[in-house]
Amino acid sequence: MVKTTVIGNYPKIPGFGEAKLRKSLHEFDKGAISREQLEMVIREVTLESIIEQEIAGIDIITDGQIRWQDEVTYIMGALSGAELNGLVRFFDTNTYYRMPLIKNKVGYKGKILTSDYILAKENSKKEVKAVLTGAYTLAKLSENKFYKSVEDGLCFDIAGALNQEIRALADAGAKHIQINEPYLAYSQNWADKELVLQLFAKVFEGINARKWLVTYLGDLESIEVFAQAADVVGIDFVEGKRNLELLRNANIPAGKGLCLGIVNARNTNTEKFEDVSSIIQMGIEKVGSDNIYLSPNTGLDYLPREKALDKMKTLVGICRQSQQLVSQSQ
Amino acid sequence: MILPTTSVGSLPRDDYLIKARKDFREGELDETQYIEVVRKATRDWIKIQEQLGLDILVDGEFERDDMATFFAERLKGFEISGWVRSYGNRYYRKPVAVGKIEFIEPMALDIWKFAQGCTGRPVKAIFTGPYTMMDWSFNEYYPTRRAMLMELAEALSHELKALEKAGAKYIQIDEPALSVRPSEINDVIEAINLMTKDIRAKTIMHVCYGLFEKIYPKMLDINIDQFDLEFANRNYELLALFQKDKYTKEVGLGVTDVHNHRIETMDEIKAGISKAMSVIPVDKIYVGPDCGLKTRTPEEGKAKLKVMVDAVKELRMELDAQ
Repeated sequence: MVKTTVIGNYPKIPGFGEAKLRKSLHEFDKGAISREQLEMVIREVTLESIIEQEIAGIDIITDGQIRWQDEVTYIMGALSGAELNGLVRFFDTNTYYRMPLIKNKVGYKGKILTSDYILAKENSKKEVKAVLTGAYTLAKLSENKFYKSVEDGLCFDIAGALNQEIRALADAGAKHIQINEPYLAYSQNWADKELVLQLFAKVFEGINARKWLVTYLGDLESIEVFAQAADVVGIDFVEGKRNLELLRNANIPAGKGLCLGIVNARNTNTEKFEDVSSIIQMGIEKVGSDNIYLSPNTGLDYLPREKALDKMKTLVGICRQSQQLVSQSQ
Repeated sequence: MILPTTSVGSLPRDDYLIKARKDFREGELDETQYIEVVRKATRDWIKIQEQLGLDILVDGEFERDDMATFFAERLKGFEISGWVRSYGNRYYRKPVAVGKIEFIEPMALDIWKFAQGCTGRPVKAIFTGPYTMMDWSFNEYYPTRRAMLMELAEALSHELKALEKAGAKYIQIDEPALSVRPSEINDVIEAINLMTKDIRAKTIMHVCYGLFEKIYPKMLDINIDQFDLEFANRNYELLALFQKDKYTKEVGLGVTDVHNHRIETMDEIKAGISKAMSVIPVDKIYVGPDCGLKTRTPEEGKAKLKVMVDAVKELRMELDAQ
């Protein structure tokens, strides 16, 4: 049966109404509240994001990444060797991250995501997916002042650190673990395909979980090659205009899954089933309906919170129509 | 006079303005009272700019909370969304195109007129350009980004004309999003050229956070007189690009980093300008900060502008003596 999931982050404050997390972070910065008080609010907002994903009917949820400043800063700030610098635009979005300045060898300092994963798992009946930004994207969005080569050095040290984090997540019970590599699809730098595959293998070394590799912000060439490495491959059909054609020509190995990014997480418009049905049909044709996950094309943090909830409901509605279509054809 | 000094747009916010904005939002001040405070800030900062010795002044954009939302609120066809994240713990309300976008009345004109009335020096008029307005909005109405861009260009051309008609000699179009999708650069050229074709005032385009290597030299086809760009926070690396393919327009040379508390030294600024002079003719160089100064405290902002003006004065004397 076709299922739904999300890509990672969820809006942290309501579009309208009291922005308690924003307020608490300001107060914490000023020293007006304690770390414990801030932690209470982060916990509350994480639980809200979980409840909203459940209300919408998402099958595989995330913890909403409520702690993350953005897709780069949070993880890089938790590793050793990187110093966070000035603001840089995150790809073509009007959002910004702090450029990690690599001044020393990058290493793992300790658990980063596990406590939030456990919080989500303990507070939801749904399956919870752990999500990390990939080593390739993190390295490419950093400024290297230490390694001789980003490709031979920095990428692999980040991958080694992420591998330790993924071990901790797997030990905590994560059955679905996802690596996001937007840089690959955005840059269209296919000369790095082998590198991305090597890094993917390294981050998942010794891990027993369903391994997701999700791309967004552009087309994904060689889908079948990535599907050989990953259990589920995520493709962005909103920004990747050639992706339907690329999928049509791909020969996906049996048993592999596809995560189809079919609704636009960067716009408040409302998609209809007819707009995306050809993509879903193509996906089902390739891997069978049991291996299809429908999702927004990116994390939902680009939307006001209420619109993110609407978007997930739209996604679930489209999923139900797909399921009906599948059951009619059987 | 060579190397005219100016600012990019926004200026630091004094505490009384921040308080007035909060009071206005919470209903403690009505609009007339709030506008009075905005005018006071404008008047105060015109005086500060004069005292610092700047040549081309700005009104400081004290009435603009956000550079896209301010204009969207004043155009037909837009609604304003709930909060969305910009970075870290910073949020803004994003415009949503929900209908045909149309010009209603001039948006940046009143405050420009007020500012120009406070000084004998020229005040630059500034508004946000159509590409950035399009890229920084949600779109629930137009079938394509291009369709929305073209309609915004049409609407904003009325703003440009109104500012010129009122006597603005320098008009700046802010396009920080210019390079986000290099594949769309031809659409930007078409949109801006449509707006500027009959304009005689000096037109300037301010761009920041740019991936210029992706759109240069193509961006020179945009029919404007000057690009105002950040140089200081990228170690003047852009000059190498401008050397490779000849840069043909005037440049607004950003010589102070607005995201940094540190006040640049005179020598640093003079070295930066001299470097630019080796690539761009001196009579085509205007000197300003990298970007708007609203993220800096009033003290930092004044200090950054002062060292800049002083550096230019010294450089002018040195050049005169040669």
